[in-house]
Amino acid sequence: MEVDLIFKIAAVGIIVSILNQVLSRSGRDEQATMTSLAGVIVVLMILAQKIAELFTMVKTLFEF
Amino acid sequence: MDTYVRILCGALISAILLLSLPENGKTFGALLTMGTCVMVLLSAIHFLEPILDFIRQLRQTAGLPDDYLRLLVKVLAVGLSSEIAASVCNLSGAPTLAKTVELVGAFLIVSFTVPLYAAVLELIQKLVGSV
Repeated sequence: MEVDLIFKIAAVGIIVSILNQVLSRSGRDEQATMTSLAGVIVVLMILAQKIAELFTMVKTLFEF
Repeated sequence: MDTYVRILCGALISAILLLSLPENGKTFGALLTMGTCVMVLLSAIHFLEPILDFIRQLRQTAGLPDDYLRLLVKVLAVGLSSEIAASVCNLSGAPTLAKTVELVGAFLIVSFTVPLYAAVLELIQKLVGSV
C-alpha cells in the first residue's frame, strides 16, 4: 500500500489551511479562497488517477 | 497478512492525520478519507482473486453455463463499486448523491438480472405447458 498519497494529501491540506489563515487575517479573503480552491484541484487531480486505476482494476478483475 | 498489516497502518496514519488537520480543512479531510479508501481498496482487491478463481473452478466442476456466473460476478462488481462511491458521497456530506448512486447501482443490477428472470419465466411456461 502506498502511504505516500495519504501524506501528500495531508501535507497539501495543512499547507493550504495555514495559507488560508494567513491570507484571511491579512484581509485578502479572495486570495485565500483561490488558494483553497487550487489546493482542492491539485488533490483531486492526484486522486482522480488513483480512482480511475481502482475502477479499471475492478473492471479487469470482474471481467466487465 | 503483510498487506493486511500495511492496510491497518495506513488507516491508522490517515485517522491521525485527519485529527491533525485544522478545523477549516473539512474538504481536505474528505479528500484524505477518499484517498485512503482508494489506496486500501487498491491493495485489498487482490484478496478477491482466490474467491473468484474458486467460483470459476466450482462452475467448471458443476458444468454450469458461463453466462450465469459472469452475470453473478458482474452484479458483485456493481454492488461493490456503488457501495464504495455511496459511502464516499455520504462522508462528504451529500447523502442525496449517495442515495442516487445506490439507486443507479440497483437499476443496473436489475437490468443485468433480467435475462435470469426471463429464463425462469420460460421454465415456468414450459412446466405449465407440459402439465
